[in-house]
Amino acid sequence: MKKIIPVLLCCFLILYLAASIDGFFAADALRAESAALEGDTLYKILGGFRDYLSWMSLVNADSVFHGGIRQENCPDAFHFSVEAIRPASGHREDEHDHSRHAEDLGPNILPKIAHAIAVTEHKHLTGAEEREILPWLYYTVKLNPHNELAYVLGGYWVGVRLKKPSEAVKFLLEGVSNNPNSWRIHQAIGEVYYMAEGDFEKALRYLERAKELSERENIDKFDKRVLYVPLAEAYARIGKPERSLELYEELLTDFPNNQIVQERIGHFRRMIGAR
Amino acid sequence: MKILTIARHSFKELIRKKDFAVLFILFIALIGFFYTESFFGTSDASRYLKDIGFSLITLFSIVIALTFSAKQIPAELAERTVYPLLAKPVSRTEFVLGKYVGSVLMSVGSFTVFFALYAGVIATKGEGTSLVMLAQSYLFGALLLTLLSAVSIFFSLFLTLSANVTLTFLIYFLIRWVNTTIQEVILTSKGAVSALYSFIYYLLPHFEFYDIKIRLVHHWDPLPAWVVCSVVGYTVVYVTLILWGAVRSFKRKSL
Repeated sequence: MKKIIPVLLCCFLILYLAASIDGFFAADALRAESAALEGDTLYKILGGFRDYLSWMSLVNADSVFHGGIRQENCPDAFHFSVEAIRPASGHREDEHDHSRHAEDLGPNILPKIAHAIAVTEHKHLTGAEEREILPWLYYTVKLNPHNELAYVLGGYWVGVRLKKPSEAVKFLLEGVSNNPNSWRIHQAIGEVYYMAEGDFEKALRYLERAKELSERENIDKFDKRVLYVPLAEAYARIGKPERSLELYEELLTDFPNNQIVQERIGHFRRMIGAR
Repeated sequence: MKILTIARHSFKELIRKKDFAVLFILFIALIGFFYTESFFGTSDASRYLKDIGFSLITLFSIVIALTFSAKQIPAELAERTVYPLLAKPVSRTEFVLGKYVGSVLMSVGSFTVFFALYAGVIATKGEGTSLVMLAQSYLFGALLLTLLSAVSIFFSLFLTLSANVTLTFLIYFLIRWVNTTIQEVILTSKGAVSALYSFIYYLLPHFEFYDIKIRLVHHWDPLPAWVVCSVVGYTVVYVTLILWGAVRSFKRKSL
């Protein structure tokens, strides 16, 4: 035991030195990216290891959402995020059965015990229980402030699901200060203003900025849909259906057979025609 | 009686050392830090605390169990205190069993103190927890330490302290990792392959049986009585076999 404590202290010292050296060479880049990181002790101590821990924390958030079960064997693993990012492709609890049934185990007693101990059912957190994923999302961005996905997910779960829009916006604005060029985080702020606050002017400001930033990147058509739909709907809410129509028509080139897009185009054409 | 005397002697010796106190203070500091955290203006979330707290008490208790068990017999041999002890009417069997019981008392005792504090902390935050689940978690934690102490005592007859601690830790994590895979191979293969993997599967200690953290943290149902009894029975059988091996090896050892 006496030998272990010095070894642990040495490991800690090595990690700290590695982080300091890493920080020395990357200092300019870090300063340019974010002033907030300079005061973050956790970030300094853990160095490159923080990315791994941050990722693990995000994986933990997903497993907490599923009652503590890791979704490694599930074909669309990590899907607690899907609902936040691409709502149309979410999944239900009853869609997956990860369990091997007890009768498949034959006469083997030990596998039967292991099967009885392991939790294999598929469930999702609901209602107030959803707050249980928040600590892991918080630690994800504490460990890696450049994890845009964690900011977006945190914003969605806090603002839209748990109905705390002001907390969500505060969190997402911290995300913007650490990731000023992220279209995703701007889009998430716009969505919180739109869905939870009902403040369409503010929503438009952030969604337009997100659109502008997204044009610098080569985003796929699904991300484009995520961005354009709330933008178009926000324009409609402030009485500018012409702009909504333009955005939906642009989306139609990517999704020519999408019924919802077609219906919205028809709706806005009728609205403009009726004026 | 002689076993208990040796056990009591080992336990007192271990109590005098400060290892447990260091880990206990570290645990209080860490659990205190996580307890006072609030996220997005809410302090109601509690499963993260249960999760991190349980992982910490398991880790700390394993460290105590392994380091204490691993040095019991080698220390007596190195300091030559084993000779006067064995010169008295104490058999080698009683000596090994006494050392084992002392290690179990120390590691389960430490775990009990950690667990009591942990249970108090989680009862006061968030959604609370089921008493049955809490009792099962305690029992399974104690059983794990009982098994690990036996494995460590067994290896201490052949390995140095550091090699023993490293190997037992490695075995613990490796088995936790591969046992499910081996189980899948047994169930999906046939013939010689299935027989070979079955042999390995039944030979290795099943440390994964004792991990019911998910059930405790995420409010799943407690385990049925037959599972609890099976795990207790499994531990008793496995520990008996390991200690039998340890006693046999110690009897053959030239001192």
